[in-house]
Amino acid sequence: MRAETLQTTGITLDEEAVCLVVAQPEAPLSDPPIPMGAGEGSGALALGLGLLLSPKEPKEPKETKRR
Amino acid sequence: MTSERSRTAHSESADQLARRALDALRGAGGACVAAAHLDAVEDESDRPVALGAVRVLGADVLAPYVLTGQDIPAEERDALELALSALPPVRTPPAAPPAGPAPAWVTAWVTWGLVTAYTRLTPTDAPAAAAALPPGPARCDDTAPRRAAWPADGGRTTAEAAGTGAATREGLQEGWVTWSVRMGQLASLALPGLDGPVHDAARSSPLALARGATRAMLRRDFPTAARIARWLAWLHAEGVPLPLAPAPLTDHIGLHGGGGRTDLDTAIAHRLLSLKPV
Amino acid sequence: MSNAFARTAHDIGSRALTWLHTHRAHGALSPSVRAELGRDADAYKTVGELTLAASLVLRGGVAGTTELALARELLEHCWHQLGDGSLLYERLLRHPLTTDAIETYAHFARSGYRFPELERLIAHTVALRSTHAVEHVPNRRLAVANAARVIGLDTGPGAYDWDGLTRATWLGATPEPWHIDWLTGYSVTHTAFHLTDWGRLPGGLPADIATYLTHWLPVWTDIWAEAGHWDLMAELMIVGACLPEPWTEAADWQRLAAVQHEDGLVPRDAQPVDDEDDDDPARRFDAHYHPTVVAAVAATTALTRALDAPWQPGS
Repeated sequence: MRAETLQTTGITLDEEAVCLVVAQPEAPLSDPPIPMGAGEGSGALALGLGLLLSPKEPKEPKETKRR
Repeated sequence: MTSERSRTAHSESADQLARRALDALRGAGGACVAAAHLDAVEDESDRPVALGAVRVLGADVLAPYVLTGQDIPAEERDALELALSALPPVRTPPAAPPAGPAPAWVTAWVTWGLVTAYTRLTPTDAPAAAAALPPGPARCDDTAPRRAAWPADGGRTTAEAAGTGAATREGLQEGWVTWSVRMGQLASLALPGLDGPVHDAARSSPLALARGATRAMLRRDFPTAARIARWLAWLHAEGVPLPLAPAPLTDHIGLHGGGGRTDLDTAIAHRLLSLKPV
Repeated sequence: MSNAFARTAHDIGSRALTWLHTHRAHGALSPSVRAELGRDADAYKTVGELTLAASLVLRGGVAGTTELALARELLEHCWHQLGDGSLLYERLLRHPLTTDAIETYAHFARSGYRFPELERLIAHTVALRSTHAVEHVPNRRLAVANAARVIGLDTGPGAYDWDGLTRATWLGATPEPWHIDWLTGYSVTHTAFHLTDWGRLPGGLPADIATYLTHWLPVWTDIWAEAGHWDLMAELMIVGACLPEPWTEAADWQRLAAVQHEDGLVPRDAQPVDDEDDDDPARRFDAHYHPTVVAAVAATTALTRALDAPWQPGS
C-alpha cells in the first residue's frame, strides 16, 4: 500500500486506491440498445413487406453442433 | 499495490459522503458533510478510507456551501483541514495523458479543485498545502475521431514540454471517447468559482462533451453520463452554445440514478442549469 | 478516406458482391409465384435487395470489370425472377396501396430496365390522392417519393412534398440523440438513404439535418459497433457517405473487414454464424444476405464519394 504518512495526524491514506477510484473507467457494456426479444424486433416485421433494406428479426440462437 | 477491497471501500465511502453532500445541498441533512462522515466512522482503522473519500469527491464535498451560500461550520472546517493536511507534499504534477498516467493526473486536478474551492470559501484561512496547477488537458475539437488516431503522415516524435522527459508523438489526436470519459472524471471541477485549463478545454469542446454524454446514455452508463452532463450544465451556465439541450438530458439521467455520487452530480447539474447564462 | 482504406472498402464490397452473386439462387421465388406472394414474401424481399445492391454498384462508377459483370448478372437474374417486371405489375395492380413494387422497380429503372406498362401504372398510382395519404410510416413514404423521383415520376399532380415528408420523420425533428433505439436507428438510416437517393444527392439532406448527422453519426456508429450489431453499424456508415461532407472512420472499415467471412458473407451481428448453416447454405444465405447487401452498398457509396466519381446514369 502506497502510504502518505503525516507527522501531524498520523493518518495513512491509501493514495493509490484514491487515484483509482477517482479515475474509475466507464462501465463495461452490459445493456446495449439491440433487440433482445420478440417485442422490439417484431416491429420490423410489422412494418410490412415494403421495407426494403430492413433487418431480419434476429432469430433465437440455435444449439450449435459439437464438433 | 492497493487492493481490490481498498478500492471498493473507498468507492462505497465516497458514495456515502456524496449522499451527505446531497442532503446538505437540499437542506435536508445537517450543515456538516465531511465532519458527519468522519463522525460516523465506528472503527478507527476506517478513518483513512473516510478521509480518502473526501479526496475522491474533491470540490463536490464543498458543493452545498458553494451553491447555497451557507456557512461552513467550524467542525466542518476542521474535518476539511484534516483532509487537506493528508495531501502529499507538492511535487511535480504528472503530465497530461496520453503522455502521463491518467489516474495520477486526474487526481491531481481533483485535488486542485478541492484546495482551490476551499481557499475561495475560506480566504482568511491558509490551506494546509497549496496544490500545484497540473498540466491542462488537450482540447478535443469537432473533427476528432472516436479513438486515438495517427494522422496520415504517421506523426513525428518530439520531447514533451512539461519537463517529464517523456516523449510524445506530435499529431496523435486523442479520440473524443477517451477524452470525454476523462473529463467526466474531472466533473468535480464543474462548479461555480473554479476556472482554469480544464475549464478552457471544456469551453473549446462542447461537441466532444455532448457526444460523450450521448454515448454514455446509450450504453446505459448513467454514472459516466451524469459526470459528462455536468460539464454540459456548466457550459450552459457559461453561455456556451451546445449541440443538445442539457436540461432534458439531466432529467433523464436523474430518472435512472446510479448511486450517491450520480445523484449528487445530477443535483449539481440541475443547480448549474438554473443559473442564468453569463 | 485515405488510399489504404479505399483498398479495404473495395475488398469488402467486391467480396460481398461475389458472395451475393454466387448464392443468388437461394433467394429464388417459386416458379408459380402470385401477386399475393404468400410464402414467397421473404424471397421477394431478397430479390429486391439484391437488385438495390447491384443497381448501386453499376451506378457508382467505381467498380472494376469483374464487379460490373457480377452486378449485371445479378440484375438479369432478379429481373427474370420477377417475370421481367410482370410480377411487379401484377402486384401493384392487385395491391395498389403497397409500396414494394414501386420501390423495387426504381432500382431496375436506375439500371436501364424499363417496363412501360408498369410505368404507366405507377404514374397513374402516384397521381392519386390516396397514394399520398395512405398511412405508411414516414420513412416508407420517403422511399416511395425517391422511387418516383428515380423513375422520373416526381412531377405534376403526383409530385411529392419532400419537406413535409422529411419533417414527419424522426430524423426530421432532429431530436435528442440519446433517445434513439434500435428500430429508430433504422428509420434514421432509411430516411437518409431516400432523401439522398443512396448518396447520389447529398444536398437532399436539409442543412440542419446534415449538421445533426455530422454530430451524432459517430456516436451511434460507435454504439452499435460496440454492441456487435454489424448490420446497423454498416447502414450508419452508408449514411456517412451520404453527407455533404462524407464522414467515415478507418476503424469501422477495419472492423467490417475483420468480421467479413472468407467467402464474402458479412454476418448480421456478433453471434456466431450458425454451425448448422454450413450444411444448409440456403439458411445461411437467408440469415446473412441482408448485412452482406448493406456492406456492398456501404463500400460502393463510400468509394464513389471518396473518389468523387461521377455518377453513372442507367446503363
